[in-house]
Amino acid sequence: MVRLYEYQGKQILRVFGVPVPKGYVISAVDEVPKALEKIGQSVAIKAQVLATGRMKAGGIRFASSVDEAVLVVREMLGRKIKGVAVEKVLVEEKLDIRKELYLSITVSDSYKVKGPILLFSTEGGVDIEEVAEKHPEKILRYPIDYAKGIDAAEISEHLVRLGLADTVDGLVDIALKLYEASKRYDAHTVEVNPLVLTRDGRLVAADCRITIDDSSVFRHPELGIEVPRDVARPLTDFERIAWKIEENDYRGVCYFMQLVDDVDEVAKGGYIAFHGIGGGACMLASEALLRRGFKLATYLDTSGNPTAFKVYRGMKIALALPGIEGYCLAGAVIANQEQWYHGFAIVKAFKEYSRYRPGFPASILIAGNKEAETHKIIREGLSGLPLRWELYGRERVLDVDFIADRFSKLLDEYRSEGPKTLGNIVDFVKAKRPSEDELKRCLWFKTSTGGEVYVDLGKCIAPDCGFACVKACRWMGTGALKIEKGRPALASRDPEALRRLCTECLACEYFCSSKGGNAINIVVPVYGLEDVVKKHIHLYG
Amino acid sequence: MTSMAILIDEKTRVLVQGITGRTGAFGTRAMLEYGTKVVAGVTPGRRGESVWGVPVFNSVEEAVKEVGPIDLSVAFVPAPQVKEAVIEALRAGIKTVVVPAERVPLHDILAMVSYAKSVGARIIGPGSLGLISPGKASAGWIGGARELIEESFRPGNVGVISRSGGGVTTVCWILSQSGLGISTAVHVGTEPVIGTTGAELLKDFQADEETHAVVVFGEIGGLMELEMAEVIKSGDFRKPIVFYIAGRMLPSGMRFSHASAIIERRADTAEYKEKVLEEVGAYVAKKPTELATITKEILKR
Repeated sequence: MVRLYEYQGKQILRVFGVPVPKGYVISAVDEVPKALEKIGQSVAIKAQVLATGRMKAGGIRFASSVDEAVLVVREMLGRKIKGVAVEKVLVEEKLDIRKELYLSITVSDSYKVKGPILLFSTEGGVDIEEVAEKHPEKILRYPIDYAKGIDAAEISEHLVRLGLADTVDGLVDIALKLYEASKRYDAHTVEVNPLVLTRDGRLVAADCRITIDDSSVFRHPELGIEVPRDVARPLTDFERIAWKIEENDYRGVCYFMQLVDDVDEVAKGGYIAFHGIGGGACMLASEALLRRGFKLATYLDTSGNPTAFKVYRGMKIALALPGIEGYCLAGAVIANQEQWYHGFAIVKAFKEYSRYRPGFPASILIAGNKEAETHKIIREGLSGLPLRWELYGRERVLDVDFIADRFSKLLDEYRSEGPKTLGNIVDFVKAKRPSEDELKRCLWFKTSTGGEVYVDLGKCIAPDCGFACVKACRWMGTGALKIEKGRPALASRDPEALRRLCTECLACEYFCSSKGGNAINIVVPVYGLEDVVKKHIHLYG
Repeated sequence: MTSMAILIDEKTRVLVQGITGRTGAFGTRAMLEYGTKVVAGVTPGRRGESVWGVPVFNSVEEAVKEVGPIDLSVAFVPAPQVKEAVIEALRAGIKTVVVPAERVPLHDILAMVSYAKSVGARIIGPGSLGLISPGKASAGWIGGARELIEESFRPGNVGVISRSGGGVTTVCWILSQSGLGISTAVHVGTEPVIGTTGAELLKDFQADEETHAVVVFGEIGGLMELEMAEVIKSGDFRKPIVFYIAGRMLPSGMRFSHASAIIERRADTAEYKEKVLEEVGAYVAKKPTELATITKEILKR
């Protein structure tokens, strides 16, 4: 779920006709006088951060003059609340409170509900879970029939029973509007806490927390959500570009998070890149590694039958973090999908990375469907590379402890010999295209996610290789290559047809090379990665 | 009537929606290899084609008209379009629909789950790898290649419920390697709301004579394991049950791979769930491998 800032939530409420306090979002002290001119002298000043518990952390304060407000805003802007710097504050009219209530619409995963629930409490401004535990009689919990919506008459009755006869119409009106907003914005939660009843009898949404469903963000470009990820901190540069891999490509998952968001901290050393295959595997393996004291910089999950491109791109981002001291792929489950796409991606990524960081430790556990074939690919593909790697299969699938011990040894060896880097990180992340001369001899086409497949006929050793590329493409892909006049050829002249036929599996490049050829070069750009590493270039040794 | 296995068996007539796509064709081949009765496929505009010998139709209604009644559909359709496909299948009278797609918009899930309820049908997923009754049939792409399925899913008397796709095969593999077997294994799906949860499946497993015990691969976040504890406590499920809860030590407030695995409340950490489950008499394995040793021990008694 993507959390919206309070001010964004209130903008939505305003559009749907829910009363909110008069207020302005400001990001500089000199905007204070103008804001107070419009609102009045008595104001609430609220830090716009996503963390909850702002009040206790000093993120909500009051002022009763321009001078006082300037002081408060100056103090608040730039300071950190629960680890996150305040960039914006919301200056609002201070409400004259008679009573604080609670109202929310939230989706419940309960098997009895599987839908939205309206939650109302006569006690607002406090933790709703606590009220629910201590005073269940103060709470109305009303599951909404998704097909029919809210039955206004029915909730009116409930509210009257809770002693709210005076304000029942206003409450029902707000409830209906919140529900409308939650559907319109694909929200998981729309919560107003507190919903204030003022002394002059108005109902006003004094605070607002809206979370939008991750998977629906694509329907709401107007919200300007760059990355639909549920974290209470701003996303890192690496996380932003990782989302681009996933955004419009529904073939499997590439889920990348930094467990340590401070790149400078990672660069100090001691961290490893963690990569799992599937949520279950990631949870099993990461908990085993964390228990043994490993410091994980990343949480990368590639699963659900992703393309090899997707796996390769995720790995490149993880490996490009500055100062990473090892890589652990923990496919700690019997995977259902064919694992060779992971095999091709691992080989390609480490062919490039081991040139940049020779001796780098890599522990690889991969088990399940097509395990034997996948292991052969990895073993042959990595052999001879300056990489300190070990490979495990289903015999160790639940023995992450054993693998962790072995991995510790690899890390110690690597550290004791003094990790070295050769060349430049930018060379590692940069796409290498053929020269103009080479390009003249190449067949080439673009893939569906902007990759480029080059077949250099000048370097092609067919038929000695047994047309390894064409065979691999038919076996593991859907046949973008064919044999024509004793040479490999593209299966179609139509670029669109080739985009469809190429499943981005990397098999042709791998098998060409494994048969002693060097004719195929697949460029898989990771958009934005070059800029990101350049921005942090001082952190790379 | 004696019920054997749940949700699917060798007689179940299966439809594949999106059969001509990359994953649809892959899943179809896996199901056919396993002996599942895949009787038809649907891809709009592709009537007359066939995929691994299965005839393709333009719509579910057309498929039902041509091949006769269908019991279960697997909707291999990408997330943004899957709601329409599922509702089409339900409208045509299909009573069980398996939905493998992940990243399905939440309110689409709510709409299809609500519709399924209104017509008395069941959705498995979204985000479900599928289900399998070993030796009988499978739906989805559970297990993958034949040789892996045979090694991982021996027929037997343990029901399996998993929140993880890799987890379901791994748990079954552990059980099979230890000499136990499986009646039916279900991957319930990874989305924030799912059509059929563990609590509901417990009632099916209770009614199934072939199932003598149930093993669960649970996770942090969400209510599923806690509601299963309620079902156990109420007496609606009375067979031995063993849980493993994954995701211990991961920080709260962050989502980890599965949209359903985010710790939001005090009540959805691994530690809390284990405590509640033990209180109602369920067994809790501290390591996945213990799932087999504990289950074996129980079934011996």
